[in-house]
Amino acid sequence: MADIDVVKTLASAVVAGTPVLYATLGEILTERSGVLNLGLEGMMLVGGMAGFAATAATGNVFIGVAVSLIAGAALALVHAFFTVSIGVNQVVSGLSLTLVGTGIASYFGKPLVGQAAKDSFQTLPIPLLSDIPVIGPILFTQNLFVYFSFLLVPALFYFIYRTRPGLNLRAVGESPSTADAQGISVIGTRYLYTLLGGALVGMGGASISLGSNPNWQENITAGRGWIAVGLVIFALWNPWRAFVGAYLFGGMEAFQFSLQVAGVPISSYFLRMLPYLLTIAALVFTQWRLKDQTGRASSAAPSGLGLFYLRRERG
Amino acid sequence: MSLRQRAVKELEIQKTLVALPPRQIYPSTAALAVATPVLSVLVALVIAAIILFLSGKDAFFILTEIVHTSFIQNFSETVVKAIPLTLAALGVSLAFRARLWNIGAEGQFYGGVLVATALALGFPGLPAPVIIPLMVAGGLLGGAIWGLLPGLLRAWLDVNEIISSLMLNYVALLLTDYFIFGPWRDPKGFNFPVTATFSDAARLPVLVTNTRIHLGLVFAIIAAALVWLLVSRTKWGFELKVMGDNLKAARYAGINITRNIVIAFLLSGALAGLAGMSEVTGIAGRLQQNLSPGYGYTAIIIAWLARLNPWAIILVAVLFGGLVSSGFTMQRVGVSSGLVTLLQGIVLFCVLGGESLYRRLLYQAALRRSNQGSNQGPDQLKDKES
Amino acid sequence: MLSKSEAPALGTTAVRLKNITKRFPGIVANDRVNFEVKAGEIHALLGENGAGKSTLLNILAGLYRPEEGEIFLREEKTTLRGPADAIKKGVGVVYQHFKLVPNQTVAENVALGMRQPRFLLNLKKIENDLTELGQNYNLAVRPATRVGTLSVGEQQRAEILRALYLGATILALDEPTANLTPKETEGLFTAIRRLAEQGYAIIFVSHKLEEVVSLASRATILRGGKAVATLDLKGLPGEKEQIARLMIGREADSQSELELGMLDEVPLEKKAAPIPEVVSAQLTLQVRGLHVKGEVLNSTVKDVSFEVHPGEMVGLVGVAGNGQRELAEALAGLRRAERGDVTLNGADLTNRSARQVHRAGVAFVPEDRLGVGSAAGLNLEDNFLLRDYWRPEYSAGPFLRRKAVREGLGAAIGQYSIAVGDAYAPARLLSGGNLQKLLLARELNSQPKLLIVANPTRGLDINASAYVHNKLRQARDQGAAVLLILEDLDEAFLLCDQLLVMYEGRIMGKLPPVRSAANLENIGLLMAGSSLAATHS
Repeated sequence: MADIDVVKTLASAVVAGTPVLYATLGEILTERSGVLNLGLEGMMLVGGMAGFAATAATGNVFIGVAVSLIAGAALALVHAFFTVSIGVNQVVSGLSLTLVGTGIASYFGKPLVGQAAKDSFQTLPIPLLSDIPVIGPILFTQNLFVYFSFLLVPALFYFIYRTRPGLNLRAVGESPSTADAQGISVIGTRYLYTLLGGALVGMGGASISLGSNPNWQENITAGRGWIAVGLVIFALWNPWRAFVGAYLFGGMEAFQFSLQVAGVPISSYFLRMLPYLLTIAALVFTQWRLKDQTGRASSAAPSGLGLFYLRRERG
Repeated sequence: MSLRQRAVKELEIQKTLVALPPRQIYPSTAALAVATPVLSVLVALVIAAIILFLSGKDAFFILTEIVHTSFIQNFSETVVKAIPLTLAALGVSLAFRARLWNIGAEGQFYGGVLVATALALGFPGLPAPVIIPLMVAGGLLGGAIWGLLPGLLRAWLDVNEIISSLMLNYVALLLTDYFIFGPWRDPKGFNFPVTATFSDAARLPVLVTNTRIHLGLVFAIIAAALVWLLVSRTKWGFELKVMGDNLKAARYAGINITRNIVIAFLLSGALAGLAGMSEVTGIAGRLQQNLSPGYGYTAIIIAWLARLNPWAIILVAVLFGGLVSSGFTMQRVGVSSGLVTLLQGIVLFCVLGGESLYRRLLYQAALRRSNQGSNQGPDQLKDKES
Repeated sequence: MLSKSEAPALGTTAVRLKNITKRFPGIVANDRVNFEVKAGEIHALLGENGAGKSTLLNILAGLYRPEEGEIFLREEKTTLRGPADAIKKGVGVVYQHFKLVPNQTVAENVALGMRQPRFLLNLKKIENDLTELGQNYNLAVRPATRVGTLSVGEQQRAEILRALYLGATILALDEPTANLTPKETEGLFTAIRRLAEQGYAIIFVSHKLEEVVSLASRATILRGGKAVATLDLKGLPGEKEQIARLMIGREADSQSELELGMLDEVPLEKKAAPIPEVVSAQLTLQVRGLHVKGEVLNSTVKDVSFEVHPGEMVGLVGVAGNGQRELAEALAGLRRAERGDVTLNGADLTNRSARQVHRAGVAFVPEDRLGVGSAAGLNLEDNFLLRDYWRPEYSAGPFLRRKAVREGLGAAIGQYSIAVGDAYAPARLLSGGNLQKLLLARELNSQPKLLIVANPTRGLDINASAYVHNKLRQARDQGAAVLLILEDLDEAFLLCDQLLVMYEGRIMGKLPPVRSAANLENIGLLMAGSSLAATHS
């Protein structure tokens, strides 16, 4: 128990949190527009697999990342078509997407299993900053995926709350009929952010297979996509809180691993349950806080989330 | 009320009953329930053929091989797979009826497996008439326990049941691994992660000789009948239906929503647990890794495709049983079993899309009928949107 | 943006709709409608619910595309390719159900309609501009406040300002007075008149004759999707009667005149027979010191006490969102009371479950008939059963007796003449009037001691309204205590024996339903929160 290297644990917490962070941010964008996409697990797997395969084929990790973005968006497009255009139940469509994504990753990823990535984002210490004691090794001795996520969080926050497209995005998610009456295309907005969100989720998958764990195995995500869906609720649809949630998850992941390494007399199977249980606990905490504030069980979700919008021409 | 008055009143009722318009069979229930799954499976097969073709495989051979083995040559294995699928899908359908998204059937399946295994390993000497009912109860209980937490959290704090039930799937799998790698590992099992084989008394009897079809089939049919009775004939079934349509109306109707959410999750989990129990005692005869090839997830699709109708669930489960058992065929012909998962997802998408488009057509037709002869459109349609 | 396109010169034609036809499945909502508004004119668009007013408005807003016909804006033929296009061409529409995002500020809501600058937002500038614009037109708002926390009147002003700020010179207002106090209505009319004087073309959609006659200079009447007439309003006697005739398509009888709010005096015969003292003390809804936490700002019910006697119809009037809904829901067992108590016939009903309250004889028809009062995706039979499935009439042990339900529904359909195309189609396909009849049939079926109905005729046409009103009177005359939540004062005068005025969760006073000038003024004062010099007990 005594042999836990705190700095190392925290550094790997950041590593473990980053894929979940991308997925959570992507889903925040999507849900802000009123579309609930539960297919994250499948999209991450496909993003990770496609990115890995493209890197294997070209030897260039940047092409791999680009492909993972496209792959995530492509799957999201299927969801957008079914939910935004023809009004299929968003929950069920998301579940099918999970199956399709898992199936694609497994089927097309079969020949890749066990291979190491030809190219990947290596740890790249930032000069000067990485020399800061404690913080340096934790935050600034990481790979490009991590650094980019540092930029993405404030950028998304600014975008959602301070810009016109962000304002329109929020309006479409909160009150599609209002946005529609003000001349904002509800369908266009929903497509756009479902695709953008999907791209980020796909990159989240690549940040595993081309970043933290640069080789390909089946089911490398191990439920991270679902955890991200939970973290969106914990984050109250706010990028900054997603940052906190993702690192909380990453922290738990790294912590339980450190405990295993340190040889704690608890079965590793129980330790590995912790991140999943933490996700449930985070949701309970969120709902309990909301209940405390509003006096009843409630939700902070965008009001239009999960609902099909059709400019009803009485039929 | 005097006799005469009553007679007059009854006459009145008779008269108005005549005035009640004839029941129009909604194609949505009859035709849709049959046509869409069949069409969707065909479309999905075409898509699968394209995928196989693109990856350089002989699509026609592989697909005919699958259909041949699953539905002609080895149909009994398809039935074997349909047993847990039916039970789990019945469970899922109960929760779905109230629009409770229980995605945790996989975990609840293992909940039933674990309790049944504990009983089988713990009481090896008991005779079949004792241990089997005990294990049935244990399986139901184990699944219910696994369904309890998401139900409670949803009922009290409105915690998203999709996430909580799903997270517990991973926990259940890890718990199972813990037991078979740890305390329950068979000392004589050459270090393989399996438990000792159950006593013969603790195995579900085979129903059809020379096949693996076991007593679980009877459980599945009885469960379907009970679920049908529950949802279509009882007050509680009515309450679930109202909750599924509109929670505010359910509250207004005086329905105890909190209680019903918990009960729905308990029953839902219990049926998935029974599926697990019958699989571990009817097929495997011991607890081992990967006992379920994702039955809990497939059950979700089955329930949805069957439009939550218990009898339709049995049929769709047989269809998907064939798909699941074709995994082995695929490995034989050198295709990754990931294709099975992919196919399931595609089938579901096809059904969803087909249903949604078809229902929109129906809706327009119904609207046209209800608008006929009056200039008074259904105003609430607009209100609903605003 | 503030330097909007100048309003056209007075007297030129701002809008001309020519032979507009719009069809929906099975219905022609607008049938070759011709309609014209001049700059500087207040033009009323009149018609019953379902006559096609909203459709016409939605066409003007660019939300619906007409199948046939032409649109001219400022004498120029145009097609409106969507709401953005309509806004750009100077059309502003203020809907009855405001199109505002509740958790965004007024300024943000205004920014939603703007297209420039494309990426950045300058909310500060919009806020300042709005304040200035509001002062100019006497439409004061707090631009940096979240819309959800504003009063209904202020939300409406925000809507109007948004339209003006986005450069509208043609302003359409859909039932703008539905949720305003008399004083707010006066303020709105002043602002509208001022806008018209400056050359704005105002389209004023209403079904209230009184308002139309006092405000508009011309009126176009829609009936059954057709524009049946356009009249110049000169304030001559008989004008209202003429309009009424055009609206309902026949000579207005006293019933429909009542429904249209044209009769001034309340008939005396509707007063119920007095109840003997002792009985009334026993058979009464008694509410004492009730506190209920509110859903929105100002809707927390505070220290409310009143009673309703059998055979009495009491109207709870006030602007929406002042706690009426919370109070009704608390009485129906759907919302927790924090303090105080409720008794019916002496039996304590405080914070009992909805089922217990219902069993004790309280029937409730909520305002949101589709969202709360029915499970709209289920069929008529299930909705008829919704609140009574547990009664021994319809169930045996855990099982339902479907045959008995069908008989009950059959009887109700006959008795309430509910027009159903198909009893097994989802309830959402029913027209508003038929759905309300179904709900009333269901609630009255159990012969309640207390009947609570919120806005019983919202969205119904005259015939359905009259039907509902008669059923309510019948229930009262048969000895039920009836409590109505009403936003429409005309309806309150028409139906009630007593009026309770609610403001910010308090009952401000109890007044007789008399349409005298003095009484009207008093009600207006109470609705706006001022107390009277000498309040009735």
